[in-house]
Amino acid sequence: MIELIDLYVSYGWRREPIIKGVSARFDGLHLVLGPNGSGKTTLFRAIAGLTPITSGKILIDGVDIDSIYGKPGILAINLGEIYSLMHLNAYDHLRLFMDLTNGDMDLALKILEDLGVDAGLLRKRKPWELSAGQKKAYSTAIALASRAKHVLLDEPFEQLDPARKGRLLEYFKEFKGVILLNTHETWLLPVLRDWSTVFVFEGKLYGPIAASELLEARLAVGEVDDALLKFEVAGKTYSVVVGDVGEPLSRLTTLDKVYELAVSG
Amino acid sequence: MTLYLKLKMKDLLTNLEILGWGIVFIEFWVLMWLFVFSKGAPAQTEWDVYVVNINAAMAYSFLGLLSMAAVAISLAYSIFYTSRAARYLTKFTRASPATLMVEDFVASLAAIIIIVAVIIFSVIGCTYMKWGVIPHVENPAAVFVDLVLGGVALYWLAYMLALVLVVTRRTRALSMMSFVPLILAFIAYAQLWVDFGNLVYVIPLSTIPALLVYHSTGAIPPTGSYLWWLGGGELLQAVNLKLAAVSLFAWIFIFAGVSLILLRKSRGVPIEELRF
Repeated sequence: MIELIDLYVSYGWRREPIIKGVSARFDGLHLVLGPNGSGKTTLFRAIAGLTPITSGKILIDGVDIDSIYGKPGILAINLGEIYSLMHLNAYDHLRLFMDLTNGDMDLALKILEDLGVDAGLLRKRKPWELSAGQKKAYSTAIALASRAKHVLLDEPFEQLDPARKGRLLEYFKEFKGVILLNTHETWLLPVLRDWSTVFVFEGKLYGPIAASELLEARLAVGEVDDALLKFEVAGKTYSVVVGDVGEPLSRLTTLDKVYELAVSG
Repeated sequence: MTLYLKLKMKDLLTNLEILGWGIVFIEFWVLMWLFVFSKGAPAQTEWDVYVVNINAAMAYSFLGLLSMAAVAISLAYSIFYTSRAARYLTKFTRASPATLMVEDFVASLAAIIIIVAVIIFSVIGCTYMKWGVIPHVENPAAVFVDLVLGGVALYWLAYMLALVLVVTRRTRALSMMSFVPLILAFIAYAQLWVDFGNLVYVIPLSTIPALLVYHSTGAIPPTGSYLWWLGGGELLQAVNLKLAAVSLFAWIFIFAGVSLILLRKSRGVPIEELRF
């Protein structure tokens, strides 16, 4: 279980925190939905210990991440910046990470093969020489094959074609552990109905709410009593409700509209 | 031991920048030193052989230091850019901070020694080609120790420079800071013409050539103006070898100590701050 306690994260050159007082518990399968720039990736970086925390705590299975050292199998993340350590080809990097994480090299190669990246290509190219979609597939395969209990997946479907998106989804469904999947793509909601969903807007976390529940709910502007969820975007309050008020969320573009508001606001 | 050690060595020894600046560029100066700047008369007397030996020792001591410094530039870049990933690695893989640091150090040191060995053997080979003399190395074990100490000093200097940038978030200064090892090596190189006097014990890396020349030839070199000394010029102030060794150890201690202090304050540079 990943537990966030009143978490604030800001970058040195920016005074305004990116993550603002987030508290949450993640156990199981979770979708983290939010627009670009809402703080999703920063949240993942903080959980993986990659970005300094301004204040608050992050616990993984009850242990503060500041005190975790040299422990494979606890957490993996699919951020490409981690998997380009040296001037070596992508295959050597893959070998290195499977060795360091006690991961499953065969599984990593199988996932990559399914996503259209074969071992021959990995031997020819350095990680940063792969195309955008291949890079994402590469880091996602390493994260999934590292046999970690908690896996953070940042936009894993980015730049993948529909067939490969489908194949990757199968690996997520087979996964035994905790997944936090961060995306701004709303098509996942009907596909991952049994997953829990949280929203990130302007550095704040809202939820959780079941993806299936979300699909049958409506979005109303303003505060509504008995709302399933309320969140604030660009100074306006929105309520996710069951009933006749507002627009149905099943029209996935409705969520995109909220995103646009958040980005422009 | 993890695969990191082996792959880090492979990385350094196949890195074109390191091979280009650490070997190819320095080999050019080896050729210039031995075939252009050195007199070409064949060594006939014992004195000639002695001078050829000293000339060769000076060549690989000074050019070897430049070569090691060129590798240190790449090490500084590598340490800087992996500072973020290193934090993830040391937490969520079996490479604990101590394991990662030891393996990175050993691999880098081994690569530095291999690269400088190429320079030394090429100087020996070219010296034989030109004068028909295989330079005699008086104390090979001590020469090896000097090279290791030089490599250790440069590794920790590179580490310290990278961490200064990471901790102070002065990411724009990377290219300037990474060249500090080469600047210091060129200051040491200036001893060929300039007598630093007692400053030689204060300037970082400046005593490495003196120790190498002494252990290679058995002759105690001066505190500077090596070319004047080689040409049989008037007696110059001899370097104090004990002080030279103390100076080198002191600088290693300072570089490593500051690095370890900075390491405790470092949390890596967020990718957003690397974009400049």
